[in-house]
Amino acid sequence: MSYTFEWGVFATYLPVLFKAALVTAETVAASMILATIVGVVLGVLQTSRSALARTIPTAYVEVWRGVPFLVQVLWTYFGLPLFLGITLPSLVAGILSLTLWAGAYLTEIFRGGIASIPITQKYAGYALGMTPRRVFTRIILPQAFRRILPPYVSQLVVTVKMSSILSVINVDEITKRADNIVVVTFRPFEVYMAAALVYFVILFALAQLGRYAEKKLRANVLAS
Amino acid sequence: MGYVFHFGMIGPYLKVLLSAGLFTLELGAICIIAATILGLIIGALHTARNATIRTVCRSYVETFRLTPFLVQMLWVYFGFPMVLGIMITPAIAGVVTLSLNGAAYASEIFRAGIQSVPRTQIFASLSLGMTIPQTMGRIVIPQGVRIVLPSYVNLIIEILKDTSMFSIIGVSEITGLTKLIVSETFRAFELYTFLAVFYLCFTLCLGRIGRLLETRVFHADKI
Repeated sequence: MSYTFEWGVFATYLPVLFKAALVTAETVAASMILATIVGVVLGVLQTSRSALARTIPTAYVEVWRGVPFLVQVLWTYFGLPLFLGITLPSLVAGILSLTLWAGAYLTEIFRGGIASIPITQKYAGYALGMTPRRVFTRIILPQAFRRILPPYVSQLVVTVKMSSILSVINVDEITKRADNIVVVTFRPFEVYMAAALVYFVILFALAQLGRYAEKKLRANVLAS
Repeated sequence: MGYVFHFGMIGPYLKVLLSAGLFTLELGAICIIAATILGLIIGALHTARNATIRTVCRSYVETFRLTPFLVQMLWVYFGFPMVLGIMITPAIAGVVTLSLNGAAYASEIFRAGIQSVPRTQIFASLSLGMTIPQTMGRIVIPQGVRIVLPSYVNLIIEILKDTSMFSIIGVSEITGLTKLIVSETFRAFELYTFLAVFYLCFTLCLGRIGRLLETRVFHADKI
């Protein structure tokens, strides 16, 4: 145990890694926005009465949740371009795979949120003379969104963690930057610890924000 | 779109791929067992009355849950040998990290299970003259299991999927081996599709078994 921890390395590269967090943030933001669209559309489709309309989202969710994210990334970056005869920049492949992966989880979250609203709410809307579309957009969705928020935030946290795997296809985010720094400094212990700290700070803030929003919402629901 | 599929090229590699697949399952099984044992201990300690013990558990869980598994694994594999002055194989580094990581998630699941059974039920059964082992075996565990089972099955699936990341530090489980074969044959589409199907078989089966256990054995739908 004669190891001396190099605080110099830790302190020098911590800001560099915080800067790389911007790339992580951009990648995750882009993926989460696209995945939310995927999730809303497929989640709504899953609550439809047509069996065919339910099969496609269900199959998608099962496949994308059942395959390791790393395999999906490798498939999207190395396999898909061969099949389509195109070249895919690593960032595009990264965002695409992260979107489809998060989309599968968000589909389930949105489906659950919509299904959790009592059916009597729908009947009440109809009884008041609202059209089905109006009932859905004015009654069901607003209530569903409220219930979706806590799992949505946890999904956001998991997506940030999963984005570290994009380092494998050279997306220049926190983990990739840390890899590069390790090659130069040969100080993996300090550098990866700094990277972990950067993730921890971001994710702790996100988790705290989620907890706060949850508390606020619960208070709102109780008050109403 | 002039791509010609050639799934037949997997044929000669099938045997090595499947033995690597077996290795993946072995790695997964070891991690699941270790994570379960450690998770039970940490989860139980987390319900302790001593505030210091609870804080230690809380910090352990949060540290592992709020950092990516990949970074943890890279830290253990590349960092620790330098600090401790020992050599560790990639497989051991992977298994140790995934077990510790899984234990953090498992402990939260088990804690929820323990806390889901109201204290009053324990008091009630003790006042009826049941011994503590009887109370645990007949009152607490049967109810806790129903709460724990769905999340626990999910955790098993997540751990099995996470073993694919061992390939990043050079373990030749099925993902690592597939990468190697891709670099020789350039048949990325066929091989990675095969790889995805391999994982899918096991994750779907585990999910089905979990649901069967929930409804048929523990009747979780009837409470």
